[in-house]
Amino acid sequence: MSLPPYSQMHSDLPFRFPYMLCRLLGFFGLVLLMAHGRLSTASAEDAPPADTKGELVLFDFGDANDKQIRDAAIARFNQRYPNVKVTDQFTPITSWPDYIDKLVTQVASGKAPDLIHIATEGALLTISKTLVIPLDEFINADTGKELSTEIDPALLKGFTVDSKLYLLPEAWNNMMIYYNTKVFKEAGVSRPADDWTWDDFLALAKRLTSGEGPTKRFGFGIPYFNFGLTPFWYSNGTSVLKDNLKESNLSDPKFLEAVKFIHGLIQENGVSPDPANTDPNAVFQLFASGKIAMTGGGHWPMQFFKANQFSDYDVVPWPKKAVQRTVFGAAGYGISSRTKQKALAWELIKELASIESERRAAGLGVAIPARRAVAESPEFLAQPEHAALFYKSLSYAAPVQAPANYGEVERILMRHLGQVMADEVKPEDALKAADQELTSAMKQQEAEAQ
Amino acid sequence: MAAIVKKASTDSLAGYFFVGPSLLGYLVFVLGPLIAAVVLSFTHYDVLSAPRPIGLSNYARLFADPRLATVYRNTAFFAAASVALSVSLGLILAVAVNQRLPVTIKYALRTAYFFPVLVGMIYAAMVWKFLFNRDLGVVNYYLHFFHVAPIGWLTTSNWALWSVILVYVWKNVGFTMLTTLAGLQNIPEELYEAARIDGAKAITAFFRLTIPLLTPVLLFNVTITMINTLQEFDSIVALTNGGPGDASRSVVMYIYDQAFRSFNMGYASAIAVTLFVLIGLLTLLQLWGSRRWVYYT
Repeated sequence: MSLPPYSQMHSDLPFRFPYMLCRLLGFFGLVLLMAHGRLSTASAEDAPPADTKGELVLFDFGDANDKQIRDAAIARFNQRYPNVKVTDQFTPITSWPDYIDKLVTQVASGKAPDLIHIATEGALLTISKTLVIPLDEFINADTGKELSTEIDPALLKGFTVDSKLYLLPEAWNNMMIYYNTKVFKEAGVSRPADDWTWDDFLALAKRLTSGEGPTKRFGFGIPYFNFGLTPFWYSNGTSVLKDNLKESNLSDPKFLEAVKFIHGLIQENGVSPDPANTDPNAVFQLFASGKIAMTGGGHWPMQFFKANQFSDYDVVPWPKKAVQRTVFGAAGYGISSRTKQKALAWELIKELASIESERRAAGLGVAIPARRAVAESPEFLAQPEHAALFYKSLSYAAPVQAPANYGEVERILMRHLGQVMADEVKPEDALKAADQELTSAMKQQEAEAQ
Repeated sequence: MAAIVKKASTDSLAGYFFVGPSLLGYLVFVLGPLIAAVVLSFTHYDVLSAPRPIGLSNYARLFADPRLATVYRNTAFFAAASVALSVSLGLILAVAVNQRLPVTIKYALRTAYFFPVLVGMIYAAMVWKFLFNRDLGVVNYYLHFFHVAPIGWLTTSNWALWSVILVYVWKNVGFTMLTTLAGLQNIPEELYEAARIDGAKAITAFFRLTIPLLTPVLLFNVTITMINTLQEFDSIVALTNGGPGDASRSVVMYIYDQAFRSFNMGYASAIAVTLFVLIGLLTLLQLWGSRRWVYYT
């Protein structure tokens, strides 16, 4: 994967007039970015002295638990650098596209942060737009050995472009099937086999569905967001985009088959409730309340379960159709190409992605640690019973497809799927329309990239 | 003479001083963005790269974009239904509250009707989303007892826009009620006495006296509600996110999607310009038409 050279990306500066207006209106940090930018290349610098004065801004995401972890890391950093003020621009996250949009808008307004915390979904965008610099020289001079041995290569690969690592992974998430052990016991159902199939899954969901009307309990709550639906595509040997991430793959008959299967869970089989809800975490609340017996999720729902003292659950791998495959996405820290304090920013990253931060995250149930050692620690494996399956899933998981226009891809897909799930448009027709729209969007993206 | 000139000059200066802050705000927050939107509408601008002039391409794209027709149709329907319901229900509630009732009940009713205006739309939408959930919501829970099959209030094209309209009207009818109530209380009681003496019944007095004298207030409510509904955004985002498909997406939401989600700032500006022109034309049309049905005493 190659990136356009910097000079080519910014070769249209002569058009000055609207530029000035944009600046007037706040759109315009771009000029400042470029002025600052000249996007100096990364270079390994010695750690700054302890009495360094300065200010670092971290563009960050998460919830209250994530905030705790970050506060602790920043406190450790400030013990080493008491004269450096760190501002954590913390954004409670609702969806990756929204978070990415916020980052882009902020950078464009001239308020680029010094450090960027972002997930796979936004990695290619930040790299292709040269918002972050390669970390290799810092890592090689510092913790290279640790990274090469303790972090799974799959996680590093997701943040590597042209053999350069741009983001340091600290955590990741996948999709597993959660099941309510209490409901299973009451229904006399045993834990599914790790290599179960879609047919087994549907039969089980039907068996676990009971009652009518307001008292109905559903067998499966669909994790109705792009990442949550992806295992259905992957386990049927298909995906939204072709492997080159430049072309739509929605015309693949296997994709249609997967969409029909999900549609059938709601409409024909009635084992899943209406999934459309703009809060992607609503399904986990229903799961914890026993209204649904199974759902899909990564490691992140566990923090809600812990907060609500709900512990009657366990996990099992995603059922397979054509292959056993699930999805994963990692989160990592990068150094902004606009920062003037790269060495200081690197020192902060070392705290943010440190083993202490990962251990704390493991205890809170926020995500799966990037370091295998932490993922195998007693804190992480304490709950649920088969918690070890989380890290093991990397052996058969594939990264979420995230081109630079990830937000647009997700919105096109989900908008058309919404009509299918509402039973208003046939899956065939919806996918045909989505394919046309996505093809057009990918062509436009490709044209802009060149 | 010199003293008069000096005083006039001082008065002018004071006038500019008072007008200054508003004028500055207008220039920075209204006129500036407006001019920028017009200029950007002739460019391709993805926010992170510099704008590139592309002539009228964005305007040509307006005619080839099938989604734009849908969102304009939704917006027109949303605006028409919301204006009709908000203004008429506001009138009915105002008349009801204006009856001879014990003061405590009167205040309680006014507060109850006006309270939703004070509640943030996002909070209200969270509650309504819960109420409207197809399988687990309270509305369908009670409808189930009447053997009504579950309705996808927010997830089916037939109902999504109506549900948003319902929430919008619930949220804003208190405002139209309050302005109408103020209008009702400004109608002199002697006029009603004269009507009664002339033999007019209550219903006749309402249509021949109350309504004509309320027309300036009704015009105000229609104009304000129409402008607000043509720009509606938050209730739709919070309740349906524009779905299913584009079934409840408004023009403003589409502009936001293009500008800050797809980063087609130029095309978003072109749509914004069309909306600006449309709102301007509709407002002028209303003001012109009002000469035929609005009575000023």
